[in-house]
Amino acid sequence: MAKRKPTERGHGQGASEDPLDLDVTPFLNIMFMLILSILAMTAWTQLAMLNVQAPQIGGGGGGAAPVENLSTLNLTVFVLADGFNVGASGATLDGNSEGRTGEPLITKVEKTAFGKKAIDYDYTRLQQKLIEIKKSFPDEESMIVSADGNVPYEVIVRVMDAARRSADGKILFPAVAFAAGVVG
Amino acid sequence: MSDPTISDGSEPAYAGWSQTVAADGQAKKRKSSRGRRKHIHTPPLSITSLTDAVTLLLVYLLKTFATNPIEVKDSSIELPRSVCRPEPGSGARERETGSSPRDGCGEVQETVIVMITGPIRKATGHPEGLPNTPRIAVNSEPVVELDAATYRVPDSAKDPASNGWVIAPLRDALRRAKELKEVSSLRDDKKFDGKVVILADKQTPYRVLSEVLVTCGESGFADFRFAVIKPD
Repeated sequence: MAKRKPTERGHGQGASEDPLDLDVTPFLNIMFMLILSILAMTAWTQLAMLNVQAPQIGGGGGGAAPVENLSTLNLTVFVLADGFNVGASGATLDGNSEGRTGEPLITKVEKTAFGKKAIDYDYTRLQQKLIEIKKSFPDEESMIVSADGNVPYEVIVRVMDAARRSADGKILFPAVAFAAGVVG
Repeated sequence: MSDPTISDGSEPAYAGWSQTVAADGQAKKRKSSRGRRKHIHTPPLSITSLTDAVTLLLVYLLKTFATNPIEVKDSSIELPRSVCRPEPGSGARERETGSSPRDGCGEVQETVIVMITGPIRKATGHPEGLPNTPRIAVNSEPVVELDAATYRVPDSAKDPASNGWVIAPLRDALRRAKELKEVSSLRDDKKFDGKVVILADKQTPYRVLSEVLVTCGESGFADFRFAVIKPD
């Protein structure tokens, strides 16, 4: 064994093997650095855009305001502090029309999420109501959202989500406009 | 090392080292316990499989690699989640034809950004976050600070002629942004489209949001987009 050439050491018995040892360590270093940089650069949260129509007051020049989309129905969803009301062309559906004076049409419900109970808006019933309305007005696609000044943005986005598509993928009222005025 | 002679290159230092190790008492003991001598200087660590794994990881990461045209760098902004799932390619179609997707759910585009930050700033070591003064920014340049207690735009920042709806500093900043946009759209031979992206914290009250929308409309940006987080 001592008579073997030093270059053959570590290659077992195979004298036929290539004696050239390629050092892969720098290559591995580059790989690790590449992985780290890709991990740092990747956008982990994917964003999307919700299109919104101009509010009813103060629509300035510049963009093409979709005036022809304004319809006769004027479906309006009011987001109040304690629930939703739905209105259309003058009349408002609220708790009063169902004999619950002073209450909104769709009250908040208690929901359990992650083991915690919380009072939250009832988006499911809002969507059911919108599906009902869509059946009577199949060509209608625009909706106005009006909300109490304290309602958080998250709720508005979820109302828009509920109004966009029903569970079976049918388009409900995706053209959302915002009423700047305070809820009546 | 017992042999202090420096190798002159004619023989590899490696060979000399192994012989001296063999002469050493400790090495002899190891030799007898292992039985085979080559294990002393070549530990059987195969680096090839590690290289394989790293390469596969790299390929996987490159495949899932994605960037956003708009990045939320501010740690005090938490975007709301939405079920909005844009159709693939809808962004390119919108750029070409100018028609927005029918369900109002589009892909991210690069335009003027209005940011409304939230009341809490995320920071390492503070699970609940640190308090933050909410502010409105245009293209990441702060424009106006909100009242931290009431989370509203202070009345001093509003244009009195607008009945408390137009935020004056925001309007000025947006007008400057519009001028810049108009110049660059002249260069691209396109019409100014009045698009604006609103990145707002999910706690933003509706009153602030509608004031920002009204101000955008006043300044000539009439095509609003809300940036939201797509479902996984």
